[in-house]
Amino acid sequence: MPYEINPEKFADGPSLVAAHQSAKEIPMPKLNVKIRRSDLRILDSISRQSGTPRSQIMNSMIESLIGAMLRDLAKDDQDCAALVARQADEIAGCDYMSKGSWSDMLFENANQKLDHYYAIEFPDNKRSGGLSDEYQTIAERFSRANG
Amino acid sequence: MNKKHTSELYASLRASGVESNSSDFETLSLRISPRTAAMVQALNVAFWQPEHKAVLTRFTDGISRQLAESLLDSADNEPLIAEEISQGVQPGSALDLLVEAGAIEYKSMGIGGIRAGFTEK
Repeated sequence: MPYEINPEKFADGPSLVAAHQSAKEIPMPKLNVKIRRSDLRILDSISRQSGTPRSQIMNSMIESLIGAMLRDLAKDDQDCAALVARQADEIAGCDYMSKGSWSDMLFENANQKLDHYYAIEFPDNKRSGGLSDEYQTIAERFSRANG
Repeated sequence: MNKKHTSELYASLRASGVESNSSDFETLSLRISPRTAAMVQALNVAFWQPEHKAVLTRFTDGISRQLAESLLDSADNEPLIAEEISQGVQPGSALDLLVEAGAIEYKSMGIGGIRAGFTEK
């Protein structure tokens, strides 16, 4: 049956094949974590009884902890949190406006909020000198790290 | 007037990380997603430098805290607690936090009961 694809209905992201290819090519990085032996025994017990690998349980805990840290930071200083999220998105090679980005998570998966922040709130803060000293410190650190 | 900041990350801009060398800890090497690794890298540069070793212990307390909160989600978690408590309560661990929260009560002859703070299913 003849058909036509309407390209306007599609977003600008990579194809599913390309996305999975790039995911396959990136080796999973490692993170060394120090954990209390008592906590580890409980996690082992959960893993044994549930059949879920301990590493999977810990990964999900760490991801959730990082998300909580970022949201917590945003309560103190939204600009700092947005800056960190955007830097992480850049390191991960992901568009900060895309779904699943750290920036997207920070703005509660609401693209309009994210858009509003970068289009209005952030430039306003910048113009009015409303960015904190901590923001400047972190921005300098990122700038040094990015060379 | 200075705004009062409460976030752990914000505080770490001024505080230095404390590394514990106790044998009560174990170091695990976890394979994490590139997305999580990117955020750890960003946090490392933003807040935790230059003591890169400090990253090791950055999640230690958070894991204990989160495990304690998750255990409190259901009284059905009691067997997990009962199994571990026979080993004693490690300072700062999830069990220790449960004792602090009153979810585990010591009685004169030892651990008396696991009661308060649980959500009944």
